[in-house]
Amino acid sequence: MGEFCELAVGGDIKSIWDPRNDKEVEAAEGQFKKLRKSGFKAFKVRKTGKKGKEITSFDRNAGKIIMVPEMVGG
Amino acid sequence: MTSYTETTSYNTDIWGYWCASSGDSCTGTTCAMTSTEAVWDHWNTTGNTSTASASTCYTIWYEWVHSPSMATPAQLIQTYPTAKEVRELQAQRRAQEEEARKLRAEKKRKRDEAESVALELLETLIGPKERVIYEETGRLMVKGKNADYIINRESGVTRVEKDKVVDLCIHLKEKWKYPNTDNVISLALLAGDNEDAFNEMANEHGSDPLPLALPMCANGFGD
Repeated sequence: MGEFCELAVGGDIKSIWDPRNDKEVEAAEGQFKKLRKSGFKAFKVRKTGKKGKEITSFDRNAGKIIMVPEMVGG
Repeated sequence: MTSYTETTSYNTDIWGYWCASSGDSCTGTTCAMTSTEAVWDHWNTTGNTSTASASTCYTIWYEWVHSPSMATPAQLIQTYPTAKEVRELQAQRRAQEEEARKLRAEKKRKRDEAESVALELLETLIGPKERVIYEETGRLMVKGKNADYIINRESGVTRVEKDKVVDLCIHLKEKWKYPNTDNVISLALLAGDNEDAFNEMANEHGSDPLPLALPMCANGFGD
């Protein structure tokens, strides 16, 4: 199972997908694209959460994806 | 000569009495005044003997007394609230203050709840032991190839170089909306994965020589 964590106002919103289920993958990918379009960065991390790596396209086999809102220098 | 009494109920009559008493004479709308009581008349004209149009005097007097910009004592009294109204206003204010207090408490509760969710996510990245240290210190260390980064929960990042520490400012664009720890996670993910992009985005705000000891931080990110 893949886990999707979108950082949001009330803490991260989690959703999961089964990489063998095309409908679930499609839904997760749709959300991925929508968030990327609105400025989010996507980081693929291991299921345990270690080793974050930025990705620009959806990976159905990613253990966990953390979607991070836009960052700026201050 | 027109005679007036002080008991008259008309302002115009009072004025007329003031102007026309003690030897002054008025005919129709014109008053001839020679006495020292013709104060108003002397104020507006010159000489001991003068003629003033009653209608003019009336207009000046009327405006003076009835000018809309001037409140009469009766009107002033009307503007003060009664004791009952004061009690109602105080009750209304107390209710508003209570409502504002409830809103603040609710906002804080939601923020604390969001922070707890963010801490759970951080725990998946650094483990439970390091989470405890993070909660105590409010700092997370991220090790990079060229430098290390201390990400502070409250604000700012310290880049630890070989011989100095540099203060950096970088954060979520709408940081105030998100739990502080989600801001830390975001910065840690970027710094841990793409140090160059992180440094390019961050603004430097001064540097200091490397201290003898660095502050205690949570570790384990990116291991």
